[in-house]
Amino acid sequence: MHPILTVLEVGDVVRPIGTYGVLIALGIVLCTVLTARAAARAREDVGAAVASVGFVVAGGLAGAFLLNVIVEGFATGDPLYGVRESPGLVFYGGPIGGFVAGALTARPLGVPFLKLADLMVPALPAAHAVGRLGCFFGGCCYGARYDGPLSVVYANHPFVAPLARHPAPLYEAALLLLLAFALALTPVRRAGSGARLGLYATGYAIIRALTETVRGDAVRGVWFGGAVSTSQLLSVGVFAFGVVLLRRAARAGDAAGAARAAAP
Amino acid sequence: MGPGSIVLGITAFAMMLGGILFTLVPVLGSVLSFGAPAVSLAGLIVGGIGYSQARREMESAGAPVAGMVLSGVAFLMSFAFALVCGTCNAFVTAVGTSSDLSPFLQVDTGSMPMPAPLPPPSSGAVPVAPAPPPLPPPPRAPGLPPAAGSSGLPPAPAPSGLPSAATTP
Repeated sequence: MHPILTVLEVGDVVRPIGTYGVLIALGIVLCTVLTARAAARAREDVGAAVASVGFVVAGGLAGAFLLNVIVEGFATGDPLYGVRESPGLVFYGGPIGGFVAGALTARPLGVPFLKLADLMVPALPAAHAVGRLGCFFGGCCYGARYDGPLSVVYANHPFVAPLARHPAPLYEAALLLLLAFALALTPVRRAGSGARLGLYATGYAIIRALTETVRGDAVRGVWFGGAVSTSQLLSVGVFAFGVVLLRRAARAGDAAGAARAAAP
Repeated sequence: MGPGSIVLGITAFAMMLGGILFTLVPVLGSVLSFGAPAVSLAGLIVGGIGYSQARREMESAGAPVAGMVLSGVAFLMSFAFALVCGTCNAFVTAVGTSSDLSPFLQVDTGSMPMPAPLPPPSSGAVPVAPAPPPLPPPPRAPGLPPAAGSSGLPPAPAPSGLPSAATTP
């Protein structure tokens, strides 16, 4: 745990710079750069891709904030509790808000949204992995108690007992990097079919549902007596969405293959 | 679009610096700190659209690229600062606007409206807030003289040789 990256001193003003914020921002900038590069390689409009990433990031941050408000509202019965008392970000709201913002702004920007999403999607888990490192250094999203190999102890955490725990953010970061490599290596023969986006949705839903089982922080919201977390519930919907996209891409592939076979 | 993107990037930098300097000023610090990443994102979007237009119209894309890079760097820095200075300012704002906190916690909250300060005891002015009811005097050992002002009233000089009211059975 290393929550303060450095301390900025300008005259009498002294401000600590949090590792969490720096790594989350680095992840978002990395996502933008990788998307621009992918768009250039695919001979797409790079400027429109960058603008689209801007909208996706804005929508993603708004979605993550709104989902936190909704979850806190359900948990406390006060719809504005997440605004007044417990403001924060829930990751799953990010992709949902980003997807909505990207879909709404694609037409005015003149970019085919699904094609752009297929190009952008390998950058998402890579950026998310960097963000998870920020969680680890910041001390949030910590794991459940565990006294085996790879266990970590948050020695100077203000709220968490200094006991051996699962390094849950590191597990997720490693799995996200694997997903990013898998997506990057997936050939884009029919970019725009939504196949890569579907793979990302199903893959991340599985990763998140698994890593939630080793999380130790109940603040993220747990339901049915602690049996299921908010993110696991959302993972079911995201997985189903991914399956729909994959089936749609498969049908489009079948249709394209049939058209090629029918052509003289 | 390109120059607009540069202006937005520079504005984001200025807002970020304002957010750092005015962290302890309620509301203003939050607006500047959280507004800076939003403005830098707007700079990124405007720069991207400008770059797209410039490529379509075969014009120079230097300004949009500069705007995009500037806005990207501004976002990186301002987002990191927003999570420190903006969050800190939100706490300061909450303290400054909460009415059930001690006035001593609200003293350092800048321009927020605060309850009128209590006058110093020697000034003789009437306090704005109603005075609390006087506490009952502590039990004393019999035979001791009464404590001055223990009933919340100015002590009345007792005539010499007579017991005071407090010790009268």
